[in-house]
Amino acid sequence: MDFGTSDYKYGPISLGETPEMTQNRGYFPDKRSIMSKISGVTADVVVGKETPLYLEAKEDLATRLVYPMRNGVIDKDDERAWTVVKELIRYALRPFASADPKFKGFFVVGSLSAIVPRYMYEKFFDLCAEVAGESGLIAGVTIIPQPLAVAISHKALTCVVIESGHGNGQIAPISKYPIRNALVALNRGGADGNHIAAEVLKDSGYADLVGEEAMIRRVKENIGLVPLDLDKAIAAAKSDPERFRAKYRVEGTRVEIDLAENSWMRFLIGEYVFDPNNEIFQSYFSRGMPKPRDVRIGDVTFRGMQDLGEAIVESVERTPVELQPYLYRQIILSGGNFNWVVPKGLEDVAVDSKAKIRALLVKHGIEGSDVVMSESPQFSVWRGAIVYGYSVPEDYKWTWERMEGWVTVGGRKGKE
Amino acid sequence: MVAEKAKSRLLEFFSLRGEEPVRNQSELGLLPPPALAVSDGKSVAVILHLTKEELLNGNALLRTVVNAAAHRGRANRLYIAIPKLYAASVDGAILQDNGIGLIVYDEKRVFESIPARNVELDAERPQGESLSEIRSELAETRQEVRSLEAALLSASREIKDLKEAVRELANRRPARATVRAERSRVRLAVEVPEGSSDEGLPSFLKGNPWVEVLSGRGEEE
Repeated sequence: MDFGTSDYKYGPISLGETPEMTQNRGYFPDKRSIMSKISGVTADVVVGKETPLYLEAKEDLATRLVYPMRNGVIDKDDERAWTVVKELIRYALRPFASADPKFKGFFVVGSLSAIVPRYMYEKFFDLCAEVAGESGLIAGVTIIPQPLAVAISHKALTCVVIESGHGNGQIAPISKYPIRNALVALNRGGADGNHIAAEVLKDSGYADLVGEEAMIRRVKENIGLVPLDLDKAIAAAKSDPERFRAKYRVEGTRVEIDLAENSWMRFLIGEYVFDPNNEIFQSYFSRGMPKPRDVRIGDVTFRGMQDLGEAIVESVERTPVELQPYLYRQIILSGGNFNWVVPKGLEDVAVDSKAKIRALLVKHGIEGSDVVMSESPQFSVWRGAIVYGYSVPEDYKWTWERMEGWVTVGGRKGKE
Repeated sequence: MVAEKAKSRLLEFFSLRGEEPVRNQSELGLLPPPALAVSDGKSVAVILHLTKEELLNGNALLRTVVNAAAHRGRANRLYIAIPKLYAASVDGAILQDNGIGLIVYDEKRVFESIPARNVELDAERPQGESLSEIRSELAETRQEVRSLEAALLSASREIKDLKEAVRELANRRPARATVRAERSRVRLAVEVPEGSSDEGLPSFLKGNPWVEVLSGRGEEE
């Protein structure tokens, strides 16, 4: 089970190459409403592909539609979020349950963000034990960090996995085990790219569009570019605005965005995701754009302004010196925040994520790294979880020291 | 939307999918005749329509599911059609588990919310079969059942013997041995040259060095 920020991927090994997928969310119907009474809604929470059938008034969605993993972490006391997670666990298992009387339940591998605090592990195990007690669908459960799952699905035993999601990012060195004390977390992700894209829109006369997050995201994805060198890219775009002109028509609408002479700003969007330290961004901070701050969640400090190259170097330098060259050798980029394209004709100034990371590493003195993009980024965590569940012996009990092994549930309690 | 109007909308929906109303429902054995039955020439779908008034009666849905089951042997697909407003009252998982589809409609559109499972039917019973023919067929069936019972008894004995043998084997080796065997199987599967017997494994398992690394977890202790 891969609990991504937006999507939930699940299913047993028998599914083959791709998992089942639904949104990582749950809807709490208003059971007091007349409509619910008439239609006999009995469930406290609805999850899965049929959720849209239950949705009621638009104004209620913000409070009744819960995305539990929006920021990768669930508060300990967020009962509604945990209720959704429990229902999603049940939802994933029910269709695959065997009718064989000897079926003792599944071995469940949950994959969560590498930065989740210990209480999330405990809570997840408790929920699985509850589901096992109610239904007998679970025999054992374990949790692996998402970057480890990515490394496993890429068949890479020694590497650095960089996962960049909606709200934050993680840099995780792996060498047969995740090297937990070398984990570096960033309080910067796709949402911050949206912030700078909104500022670009405002500056270009499209302030009326910045109220809709989905619209800003589309603009970011269709107009934003990653520069190899921001200052040189801006200079090139200002000297030849027509070549760099950013025009985007929103499909199915009359809305057309044309940055015209401000087209050089499209480079700000990509640069900000990788490195927000260029002084040009200071003017946006002083005008009120939220500056990514350092925050502490559980035991982990999330850096706001650290560039991705520096973050990789900091992470790798926390590992033994002997290991470092092997880690730099293979760097895997994972997550939708790395999907940047290079338009034809702009290859001299715009680059993709791999080239940008390589350039940032060179800036910090690291050369010759093999940076690769995750294949099938949507499914790599699920695939890694399947390999993990398939391979780890079932009598290997969970230990908190190693943070691995199986927690036995459903009447076969282990020694955890 | 009144029942007749809804019915014509449903017919239109199926017609657009190339399925036309079945006129000779009783000849196909669809008894009691359902409100709607359509066919694309190869398969037959029965649609049981529930109106708003019927849905407000708590037992109507259950009754409809039971009615649907009555058509199971004669129709390839079974659907329940309800107004969209009441879609939330239907537990989709129950329908899905039983292979029954859900058609939802409102003033603007009709759509298949849950697809029905297509069930292959047995060869059709010839029309006009006489009572004596049915009796004789029944007698033959009884004879077959007796033979099957005998075969089942013999198979049960064999399974019992096998179970004992397996139990004996399992007692001879620790739990981890099961994992070892499985691991060896995977290793064998991934080490053979490409194009051979590892074809059944998902690509992410083929040649994955993590399988061996993870299989050894716990050994170092």
